Order: sequence, then structure tokens, then C-alpha cells
Amino acid sequence: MYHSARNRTIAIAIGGLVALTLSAAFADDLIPQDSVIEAPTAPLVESPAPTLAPQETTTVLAEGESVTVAQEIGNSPISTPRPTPTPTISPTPRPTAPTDLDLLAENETPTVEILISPQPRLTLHMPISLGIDPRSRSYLMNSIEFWGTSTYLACFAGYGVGFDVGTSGAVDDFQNDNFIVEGDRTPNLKISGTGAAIKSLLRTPGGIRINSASGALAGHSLSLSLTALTSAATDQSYCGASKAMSTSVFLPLKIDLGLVKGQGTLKK
Amino acid sequence: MSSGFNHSRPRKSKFILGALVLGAVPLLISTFAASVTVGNGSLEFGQGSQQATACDSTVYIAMGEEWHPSPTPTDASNGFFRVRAVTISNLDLTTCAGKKLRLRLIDGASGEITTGPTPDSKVLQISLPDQAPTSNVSDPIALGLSYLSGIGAPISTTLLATVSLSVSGTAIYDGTTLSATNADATFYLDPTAVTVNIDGQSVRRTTVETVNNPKAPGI
Repeated sequence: MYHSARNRTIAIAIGGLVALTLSAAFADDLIPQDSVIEAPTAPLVESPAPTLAPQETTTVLAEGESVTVAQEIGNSPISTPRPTPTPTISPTPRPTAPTDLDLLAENETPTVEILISPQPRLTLHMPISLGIDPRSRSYLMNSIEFWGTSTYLACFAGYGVGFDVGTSGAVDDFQNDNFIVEGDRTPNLKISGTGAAIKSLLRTPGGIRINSASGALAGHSLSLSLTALTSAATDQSYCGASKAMSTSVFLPLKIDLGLVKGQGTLKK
Repeated sequence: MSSGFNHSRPRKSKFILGALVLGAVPLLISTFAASVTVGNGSLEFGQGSQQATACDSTVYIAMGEEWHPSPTPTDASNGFFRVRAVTISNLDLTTCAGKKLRLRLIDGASGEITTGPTPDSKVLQISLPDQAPTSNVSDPIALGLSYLSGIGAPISTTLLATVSLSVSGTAIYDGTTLSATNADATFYLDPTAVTVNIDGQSVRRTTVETVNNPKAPGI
């Protein structure tokens, strides 16, 4: 019994091996030789290359995008080697350079001329908190101090507040070669001119009035940044180049109102 | 047999109880602060704003600040924003005619801030005209500008402050048009900025008082 069972097992095993050999030989005849050698990922690597024409690559991949990709890869916690993007991206911006750089140069030329780089050291002072009547909806602001004789762009940004310079209640936007006021009666006011001219506007009797967008001023805030320029300009991008920035928050004062009666004299 | 959980529940309860007690402390402090009485007993301090009880139901406060340089050897740009002026706005000079108007500045510790040249100068006072003026008045003598102590006693000292009672122009407080019933009384603490230089950050409360101003018999 034992021997017959053992023989049967051996016979089945030999039969299986024969069948496997025959099927392998049959498959070898039908399938092309090189497909077996290629790695399964090979088509994924090779297929984009022929499909991407040079024009398509250059149009899609701008210089900015290549930087972003590089940062993403660099910041990625798993540094899985991805050889395909790097060689694809790095050479491609070069062919596009003539057109893209021309456009960039056209856009950036004024920036280079007007924005002073590096920005000079500026001292700007505003109170950290502005004590106001808790019911107040507007505030006449005089407490801004800075020093400098250069030309500046003063960027006011209101958080729940708007700015009103010059005539109260009127839009006093103004522009000439040396002085620009833009965004009067909005939360984003820009004044550009010499330091003296900006100070002069801020310290006129009308000054700069800050109005709440809704409700009381208390709790709202504003910020001011100063950017040194070579000539008056109000491009929003210059605001971001500032090295001097200050923020003030409106703090409600506690107010007491009372009546004191006249002091009487006691009869002796 | 007790487990760790049996111990943690009472601890958690104690922690919550402790947090509640700590949370209640500010409420207790503010409640006590509301009952502080300063002066000769007639003035009550309250939290937040209150309505005036006398000649004008709604007056407002506006505090103006300006940069006060205080350079140090290491920082030439050092300084602070001093209180330049305090304006009592929306003042009705017809109903408040003849009254005395007093102003105090209080710091964060409920202490009266010195507003004059002597340490006991805690109050600025003017006498409002008996008749509502038709033009702005800035004569400190005509308006009886003076310093008082915390309890309201007159102080005889050099007057550094100036005052302006405005019935025309625009209100400092809200830019509205001034009139006899919407007047501004502005106290300039020390226009020379030599002696009285109060850091605006230290002012946490202002007090406005109207005082009956009885005339002497025969006047």
C-alpha cells in the first residue's frame, strides 16, 4: 500500500513537469522574444517621450512650474527616485526662454527701475493699540511716525476698516508725477510720494480718518507698510517688498460719565 | 481591586473644578472693580460705557496721540506716542451751559494719571459758558481751565494745558459738523510736550464729569 501510493505521487509529479515543459516551449514559439526581456514599467517610461513634441513641452512647462516641482520633490518625505521628471523639465525651459523671458523682462523692467533694492533701513512707528471710545465708529489718526527723505509707497491695509484721506466723505484719489493717492475710502489705501508729502497729507486737519466697515471700531485693526521707491508708484507688488511694517489694534477705552453735585456747606 | 481608571476620574473632576474656579476669578475681579468709588463719593466707576446722567445724555471721547522722541545711546529712534489731546465730543452746550466739565485719565491699575505739572494734578476742569457760544473759544482763562486733585480740590500751579471749545468745523470724534449742540471740548495736555508726556498705551479709562456750578449769591 505504502509503495503504490508513493509511486503514484512520483508519477503525478513527473507528469506535471512534462506538461509544464511542453507549455513553456509552446509559449516561447508564440510570444516575441524581446517582450519577455522588458521590465513591466518600461512602456511607462518610454511612451511619453515619443508623444511629447518639443513645442508642447516648451509651452506647458514654464520656469516657475519647474521650481515648484523641484520644491515638491525636495520637500517630499519619501525621496523615491523619479528620474523621468527631472531630465524632462530641466532641459525644456531653455528652448522656451526667448519668448518667456522677453515677456518677463517687459513686465519686470519697471520693478527694477522703481523699487529700490535692497530696501534701505526704515523706522516706522505706530501705536500697538489705539485707545478709542467703545462706541466709536471712526477715528482720526495722527499717530504715524517715520523718518526718511526718499520717495515712498505707504500701503494701508484695513481689517474691518476703511480709510478716508483729505476731504471727509469724498473720494480724493489723486495722481501727478510726484504724488499719488489711490484707494481713498477703501480698505486698501496707497499713498506714494516723498516722505514729507505723505506726512503732510496725514497731518492735515482732515488727516486720515479710519471708518469701521460695520459696527464699532473696537477690535478692528490696520497695518501700514512703507516701501522706498525711486519715483512715485502704487503697484500693489511694491507693498510686499516693504521691510518696514507696523500694525495697530483699536482698543476700547472704559468710559465713565457722571454727575457731581455742588458741595454744600454744613451749618455750624 | 482598584484600577488606574478609578483614580483618574476624581483627578479629572478636580481638574475641571479647578479650571472653573480659575475661570471665575476674572469675573470676580471685574465685579469688585465696578464698585470702586473715586473722588468725593459722587462719582461711580463702571465697566464699559455709561450714559451721562446730567446735562448731556451722550458725549464721546477721542484721544489724540503724537510721537514723543526719547532717544537712547543705543537707539536713536526710541520714543513713544504721548497723549496730545483728549476731546469730549457731541457736547450739548445749551443744556450744559454754566456747568463745570472735568476730565480724568485712568491707567490699567485704576490709578488716576497725573495730567499737570504737579503729582497731585489728576483732573482737568473747565467751566462751560453760561450762554452757548456762537464761535470757537480757546481762551483758557475765559473757560476757567484749571487742575484739580483727585478729590476735586483746586491746585494752584503753572498751567501747562490749553483748551478749545469748538462749535464750528468738524468733530474730532466722528467728523460731523460741529454746532452748539454738538460741540467739541478739547484738552491739550501740554502743547510744548516738555513736562506732561503721558504714554497713550497707559490710558485705559477716561472719566467725564459734569458738576453743578452754583454762582455765589449776588452774581
